[in-house]
Amino acid sequence: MRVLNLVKPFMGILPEIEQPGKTVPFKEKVLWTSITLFIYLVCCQIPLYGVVNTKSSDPFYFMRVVLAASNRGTLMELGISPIVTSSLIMQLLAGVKIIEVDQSVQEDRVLFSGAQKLFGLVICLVEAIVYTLSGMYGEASALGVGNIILIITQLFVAGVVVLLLDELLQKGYGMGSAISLFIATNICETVMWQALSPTTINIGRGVEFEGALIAMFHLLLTRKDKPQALQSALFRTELPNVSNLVSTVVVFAIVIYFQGFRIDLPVKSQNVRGYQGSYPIKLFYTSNTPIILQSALVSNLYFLSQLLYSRYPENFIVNLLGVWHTISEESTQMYPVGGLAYYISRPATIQGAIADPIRAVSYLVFMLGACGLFSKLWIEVSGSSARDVARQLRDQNMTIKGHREQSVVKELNRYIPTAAAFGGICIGILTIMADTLNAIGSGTGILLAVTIIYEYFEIFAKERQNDPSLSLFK
Amino acid sequence: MGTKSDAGVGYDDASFYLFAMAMLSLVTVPWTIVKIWRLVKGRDQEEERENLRQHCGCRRCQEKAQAIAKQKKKSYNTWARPSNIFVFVSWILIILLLREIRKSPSFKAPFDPFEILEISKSASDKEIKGAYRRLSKLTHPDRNPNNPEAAERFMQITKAHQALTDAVGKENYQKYGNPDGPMRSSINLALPSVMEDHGNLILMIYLSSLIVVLPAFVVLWWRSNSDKLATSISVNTYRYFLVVLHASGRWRDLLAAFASAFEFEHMGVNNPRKFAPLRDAVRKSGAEADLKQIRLYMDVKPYLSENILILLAYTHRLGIDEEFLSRLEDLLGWTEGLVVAMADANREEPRQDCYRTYGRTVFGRTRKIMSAVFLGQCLAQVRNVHDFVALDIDARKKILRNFSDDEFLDVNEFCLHFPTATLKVAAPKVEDEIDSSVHEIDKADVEVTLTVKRGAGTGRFPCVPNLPDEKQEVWWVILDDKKHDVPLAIKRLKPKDFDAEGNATFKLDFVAGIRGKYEYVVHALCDCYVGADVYSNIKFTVEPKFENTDSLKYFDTDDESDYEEYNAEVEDGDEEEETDSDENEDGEAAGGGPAGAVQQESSEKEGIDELSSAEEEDDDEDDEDDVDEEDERENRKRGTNGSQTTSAVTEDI
Repeated sequence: MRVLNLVKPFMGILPEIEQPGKTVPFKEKVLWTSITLFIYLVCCQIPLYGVVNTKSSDPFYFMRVVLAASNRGTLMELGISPIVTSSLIMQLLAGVKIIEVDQSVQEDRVLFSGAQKLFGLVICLVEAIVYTLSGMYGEASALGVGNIILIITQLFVAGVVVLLLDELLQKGYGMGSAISLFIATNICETVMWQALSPTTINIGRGVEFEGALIAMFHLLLTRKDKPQALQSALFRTELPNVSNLVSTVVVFAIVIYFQGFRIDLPVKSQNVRGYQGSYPIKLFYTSNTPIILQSALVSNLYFLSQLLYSRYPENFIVNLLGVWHTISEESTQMYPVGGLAYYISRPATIQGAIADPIRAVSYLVFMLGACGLFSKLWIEVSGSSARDVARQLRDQNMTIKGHREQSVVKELNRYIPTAAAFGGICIGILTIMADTLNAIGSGTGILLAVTIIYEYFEIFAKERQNDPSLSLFK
Repeated sequence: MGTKSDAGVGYDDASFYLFAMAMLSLVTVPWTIVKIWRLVKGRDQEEERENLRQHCGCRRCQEKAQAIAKQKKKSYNTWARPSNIFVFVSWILIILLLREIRKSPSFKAPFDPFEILEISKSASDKEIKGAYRRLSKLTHPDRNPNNPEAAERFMQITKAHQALTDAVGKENYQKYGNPDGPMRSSINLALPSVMEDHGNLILMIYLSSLIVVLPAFVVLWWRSNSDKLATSISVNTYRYFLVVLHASGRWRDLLAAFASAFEFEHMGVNNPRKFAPLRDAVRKSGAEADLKQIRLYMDVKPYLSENILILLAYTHRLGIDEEFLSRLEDLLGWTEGLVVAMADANREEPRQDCYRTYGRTVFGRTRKIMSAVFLGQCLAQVRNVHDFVALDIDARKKILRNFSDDEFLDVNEFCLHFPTATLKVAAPKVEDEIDSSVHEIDKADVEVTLTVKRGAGTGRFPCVPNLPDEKQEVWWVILDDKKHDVPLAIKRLKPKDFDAEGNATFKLDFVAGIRGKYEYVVHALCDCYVGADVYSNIKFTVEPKFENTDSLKYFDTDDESDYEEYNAEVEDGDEEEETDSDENEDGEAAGGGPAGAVQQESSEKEGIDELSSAEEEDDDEDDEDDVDEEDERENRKRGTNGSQTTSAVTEDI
């Protein structure tokens, strides 16, 4: 009895977006994508009703940007984590053949996506309940039953809306997917805010602007010692400074440059002679999946470790896993100072790295190793290994030009695993570099944003090319 | 200077001025730099002179060139453009804001003891002490009674000294930036304090701009843009052309269609009296036949009939009165865009009658496309002097001995610029294959070299004084199946596609039809001159379908290919409409198994009709779209270009 058949009874009640009648024109796609973005941005600012306080330690602090694209204490608390988690797990289950799904059968495909949606809804509900009851919005007793139910409902409804928005974009009304859109937007928002924020902070030294560019103007105007002012604008530590901005731009440029690295395998059709095509194998073969997986792994580890440590701080095994301290007296945010969690965490500054070289090295090795390994494993699970590609080519009756002696699989195996592993390591290196240069947003964030924006540009270019009006002229 | 702060976040006017100034500068400064640089660079005088030299020398062309140059100069030198005004106003605002900021007393730099004591960062303790003593003496309140500024400064100096010398003070300064120890950190917003008073109003404005203004803006932009195609021809015109070109390909109907384009809707004057003399002139001349036989495909509207009269008079070389000249110019300005739209409109017409030959739907009728180009030629040029041009200058002078010198100069210039084209066409063949002869359903390439020579000048400045705007000489190359009147490939060549000697080499590709003998023609049409067109014939044979006997190895071992799963798929072939029609060929390639044998037999039985694969092209695309969508979903997860192959094939087909 197939697992997928369990989903059948639910298919009727799952909310769904109807198929577009005909191909949606390019301009309309842009419109729908912008509307989706708009809804998301507005929801990010609407605070949850019924919350008592949000001062407790945020266990998802480290991965909030990357995995959730969400804002604490707002409707978008859960963000896209239900969708991402559900799709990752379903992919995994399908890849390991626990769930048997045949992608070429229409019915199976429908069932599979229905299952994904159902799973996403379930995760959404469960996460909402867990968040509320675990005290993130204040102690359960202080909230009262009514408020608890209210908060859970708000979170759940918001989760459903996000799910539907994602489906909207994917069914053909929009471009790309909601996940990439929201992640990229969140990070761009951070960059814009840190550059141009009008907020001023006064910690005793006088008025200082939070926005890096605004602060530059401020310092240049008011300080008498102009070179000193410039240096301060470029390198001040507590608030964003202009060198952050510059390194962000540099990282952008480098990643975009690397995106262009690819090998084009010339393929030709078996049935129809004269058709040429090319099958590109990019350096970033698995794009940013390895970094997402690595982030997810680390964050879950942290979550577990934090939880255990706060309950059993004396236990030896718990200490091996991770020892945590709070950042300062005011905030309750914790950071690791010992155990496994410490050795895979990033050294905060270069001086910190030099002071404890073992940690720096272990972090480096872990990061690069994890990225490369995940990348290589992922191609097997997600159906883009050499074997799967060869199967695809065979089904479409295409073959690689030349190379008659070797099988297609062998030929592909020359490139694909290397591209995957090396690409994964490159992503890891770029992330570490971005973190070291103190680019705005974490290194992971910037990398994600750049790859996503680049993909959108590729979609744009392809759509423009296929614009059906005036198809005559190349 | 208002500084309001409650328990929460406060608004600070002084900071707002700085914020506003910073934002304005970020926009204005780069813009100003760009503008100044453009101004300094000036116009490229040398290039302009070179262009003028290459222009056709006949009087009317020269007049046109000068008029256009003057226009350009005028637009270049306008100072009152909106962008300039904006930059100017910004600068004024910036200067005003700067002054306000300077005036504000509460606005100072962050606390910096070195600056206050006026010593360098590397000052020694002795220097610090000395500076402190000196400055404190100067600003001591006892010495400066009734001077609040001095008192303020004295406090600062004491603090600075404390920060640098006192142990506790030093530590505090390092940690918190203030020798007095940790201060309460306060956060303010650099926005005008008036906003706080009218908090509700501001909120209303913000909300309304988000919910009302933004969507309204989007809707308006949408409306204005959605009824135009990418080349700013209106969608209605395009649809009308589809109708006309489907019904008729005659020159006069195309002329009428041109005149009816919706771009000209606003031109209707509806004054029959004005047009009466023109109408009489047309009736009396040879254009009457054309006028009578024009068939319209929509209701007659005033602008329509008027435009037709004007264009007929123009193309038949009847005189046109002053009052209509500007309207004629407007009409001619749209020549290129509308002619291209016409040709494209015809390209959308499916040709089911050619299904048998090509095994798939091809589109369009060559005759009609050539008609459209011919219309363009007539509107651009109304001369037909191919043979005359072939003569040399003395022969021409003899024939035209009755012309004045100026008139002869005009004619001579035109002859010099008239293009003579030659086409060199290779036989069709298939790229990159050992057997390059053409077989059924192969994609074959025809290599074409078009050489255009002329006496003087270049294709960038043809002799087209009648068109109001600058026009380059564009060559249309069409690969035509003579028997079926089907345009198989069309290419438009602009002057930049030609090399220095006037050669342009390119490939036209097409899909071969069923086996047999074929006769194709390659036409080369110039869109500015009537009578400059050339063509070249090709004859070739299409062989029967190529049987691919290569044994291809996809996998090293049978295990890898999931052999059983694959064979199971093949057996279920009937249910699966989505899989490639070429599955039958799959059966041959993979060989073996009773299922495979069954497929083989059926494919031989069905023969040629298999080519059509029992599915129309539309279905194919839909299914591939489905597959594409699903693949795109997975791409997002996989982050790979896994479906690239699908799209690569789809694009080629």
